[in-house]
Amino acid sequence: MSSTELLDRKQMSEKELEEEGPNYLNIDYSLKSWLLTTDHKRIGILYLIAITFFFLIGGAAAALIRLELMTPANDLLQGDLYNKMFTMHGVIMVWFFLIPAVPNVLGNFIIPQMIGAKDVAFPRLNLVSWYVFMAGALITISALLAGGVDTGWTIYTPYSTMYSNSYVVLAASGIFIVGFSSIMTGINFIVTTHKLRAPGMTWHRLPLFIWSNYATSVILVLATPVLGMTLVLLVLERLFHVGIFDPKYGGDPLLFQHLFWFYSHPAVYVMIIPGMGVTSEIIAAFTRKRLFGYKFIAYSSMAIAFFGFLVWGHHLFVAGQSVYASLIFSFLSYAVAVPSAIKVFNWTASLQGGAIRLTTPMLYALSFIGLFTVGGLTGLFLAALAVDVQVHDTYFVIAHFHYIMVGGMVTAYLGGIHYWWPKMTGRMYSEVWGRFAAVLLFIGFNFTFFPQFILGYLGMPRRYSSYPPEFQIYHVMSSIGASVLAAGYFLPIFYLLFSLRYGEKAGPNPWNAVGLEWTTSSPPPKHNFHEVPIVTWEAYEYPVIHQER
Amino acid sequence: MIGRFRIFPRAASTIAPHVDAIFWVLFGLSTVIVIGVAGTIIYFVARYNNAPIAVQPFKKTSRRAAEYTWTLIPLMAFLAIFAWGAFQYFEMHVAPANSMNVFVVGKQWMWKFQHSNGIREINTLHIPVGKPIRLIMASQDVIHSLFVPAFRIKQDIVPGRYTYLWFQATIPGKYRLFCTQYCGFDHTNMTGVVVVMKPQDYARWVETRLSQEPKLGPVGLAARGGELFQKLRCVSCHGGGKSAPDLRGLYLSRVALDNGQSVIADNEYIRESITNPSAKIVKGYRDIMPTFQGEVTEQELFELISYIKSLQKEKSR
Repeated sequence: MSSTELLDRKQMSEKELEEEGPNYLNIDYSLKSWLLTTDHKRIGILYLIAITFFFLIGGAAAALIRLELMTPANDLLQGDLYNKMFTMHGVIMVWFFLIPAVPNVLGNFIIPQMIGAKDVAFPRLNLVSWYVFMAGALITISALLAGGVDTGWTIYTPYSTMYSNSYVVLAASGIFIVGFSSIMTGINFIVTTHKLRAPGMTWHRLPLFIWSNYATSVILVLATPVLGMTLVLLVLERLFHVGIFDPKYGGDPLLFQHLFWFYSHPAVYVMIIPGMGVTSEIIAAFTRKRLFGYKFIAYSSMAIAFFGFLVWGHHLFVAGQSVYASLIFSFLSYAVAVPSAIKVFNWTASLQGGAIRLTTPMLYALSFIGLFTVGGLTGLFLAALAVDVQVHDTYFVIAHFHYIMVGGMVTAYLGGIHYWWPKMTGRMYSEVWGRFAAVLLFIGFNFTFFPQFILGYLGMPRRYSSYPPEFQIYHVMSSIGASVLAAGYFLPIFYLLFSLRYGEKAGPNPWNAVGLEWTTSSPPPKHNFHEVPIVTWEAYEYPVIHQER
Repeated sequence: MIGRFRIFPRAASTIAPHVDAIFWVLFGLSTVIVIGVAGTIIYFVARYNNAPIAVQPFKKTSRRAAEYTWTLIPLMAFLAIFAWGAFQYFEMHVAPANSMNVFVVGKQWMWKFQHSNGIREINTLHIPVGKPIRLIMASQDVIHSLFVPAFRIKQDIVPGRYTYLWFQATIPGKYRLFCTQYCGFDHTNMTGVVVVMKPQDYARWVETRLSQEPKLGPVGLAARGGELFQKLRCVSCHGGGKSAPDLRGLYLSRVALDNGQSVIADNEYIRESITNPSAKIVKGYRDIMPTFQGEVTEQELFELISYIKSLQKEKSR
């Protein structure tokens, strides 16, 4: 049985395909038409190209780190090269890949189509956002490549303000600028969701991807300004010794950590909630039924966004903050775990009685549930005050947040790319290669990061380029796993590009899924729909097609 | 011992088994949830894979009972673990009254330890087994963090203030010590060893070290502090004159300030009064003392504090 039959795909005749009018891709091929586009779909593609490039740079840094850690001695990346490498990896992956990944690429491309709109609310602002993003990215990356920054992505004071001899100000300026891009995109999505829903598309008929991006946008708009202010203070302190963070001038280094994590902890949720939205879409499509507990999943996104603002102090349990503050932050951290647990149980329950199709996107979605569950549960270890003392700033933390951000978010992002690729390009990729890459990724990921939990509890500190010999076996396992993981990331680049030319034509709805984006042609016309859709059905209302096989 | 392959760290302090107990309960809970979720997914996938499309008519599925069950049961489990973790965390923060003080200075990229008897060590700390040890820690430059995995203890050391850590080792031996807060170029080499000794071995070690010490100056932290007190000319004002407060009996006493408030003269207060004298002015005195910020090292501050601590109040005649 071929993959097309498996999916019960409606075959389109050549004639039907030819009758489609111009789409957003073939309407104009000039470079100018891309660089000055205000079409949300093209802007999504611009982001896709940019962040793929940044992901490769950040990934190269990770590869060098894993190579260095093959042996206990510091041999490959000597001097402060190792420190610069993990800083580069963190800065690029957080601000130039993970935060923009799902919202700016998939969100831009699909949100207006999902709600039945022609475009986002502010198309020109959307383009400005991309240019601001690129400007910030190029400034930061030039700092990272010119001489490098050796502060870690957390840029803790007073090291970053008084002691580091690297390009801190330049890198911080780039991150500051990128913040505006996040804010602009966040505002755009919030307004789009409020104002541009098609007639009949009520809030409770919205796909869960929209809910998750809405929650994410709220975080971006509220938290990013705090990062901006903090970076301004950091730069002022470094240049003029104003005495905000440095005790020598009457400042307090812990103030920086509070401000930094007040942004960065909510930002962690920016790096996972959109992935939850993607997973919800994929599971609904490949079980062919409405998700179990739609409202619980929708509102748990909002609950995570809200509680996410109240848990930043759990990064400071051993930093010297008051034990009573730690008590409250620990409690709230357990509170935020509950909506995450609700989501996992609802996704799992959604599989029951579904018409499950193990397509490439579905494999990514199921990987996401598994990896996110491990990442979330290990978060409980970190939230337990006494246990955090042992695992804080060790490889346990590294493993935990990679399970969330890489195992969770990157897996979901790739799942989303594979799910909407036919819509974006009008072409199908090779299912065989797709499934192979998805499985490879799952195996490689666990091989890379699971040993790091053991290492962490044993006491291996993070940001060490050399380590005691008794830890070597775990590091070697991790590095071998990382090479499998790298193969899993490279494969899609090849077969997806291959599909652009040689892929089978997708037709409007290759997955036979419901949702407004599948009612328009693939690739969609410039304004998505020829007529404004009127929604009279619930989210994920799958019609009864065959009563019997 | 150091250098041996393990999958779980040694537990060599009184707090370690308590931390491990919470760890294992969390591990058990996590294993049950992971196996439960993964098992359910695998079962459903095996059962419904390639099932015919939409055999059931559309319905909005959400069973209240199920939702409440998987909301409330995790919530209660989480609350129990939260309370347990918090309880042990508070235990870690209250040092027993009979603790032995060791002063620690973290600086790029070494650990300096100073015992009350004046013995100084770098990157190695010798302590007796079975005795509570209280570390009073300061940083000379950036933030560091002292971590001994086998003891399950860790605390950041923040410049400009003191932080504390206590533990009681239970098994003699050598244990690794790491800096876990990234502190720049050679962070990776800011490591050390804690040597836990049997009481008699420790006593012998102290004796040997002290016999070598006279070459290094006066014995005992307080004695060194007294010498500094002369050298830095603290004595010219604080030695009984009217311009500055008498320091005898100051340590841990209540001091009235000129703004009407009062403070306890603890380590932090004395440290601040030396590095930033204008911050708190003792009632009845003028703000005339110069700052010693940059003049004295963190190590010397410990010595001065030990000296001030040793000054007893004169018995009233």
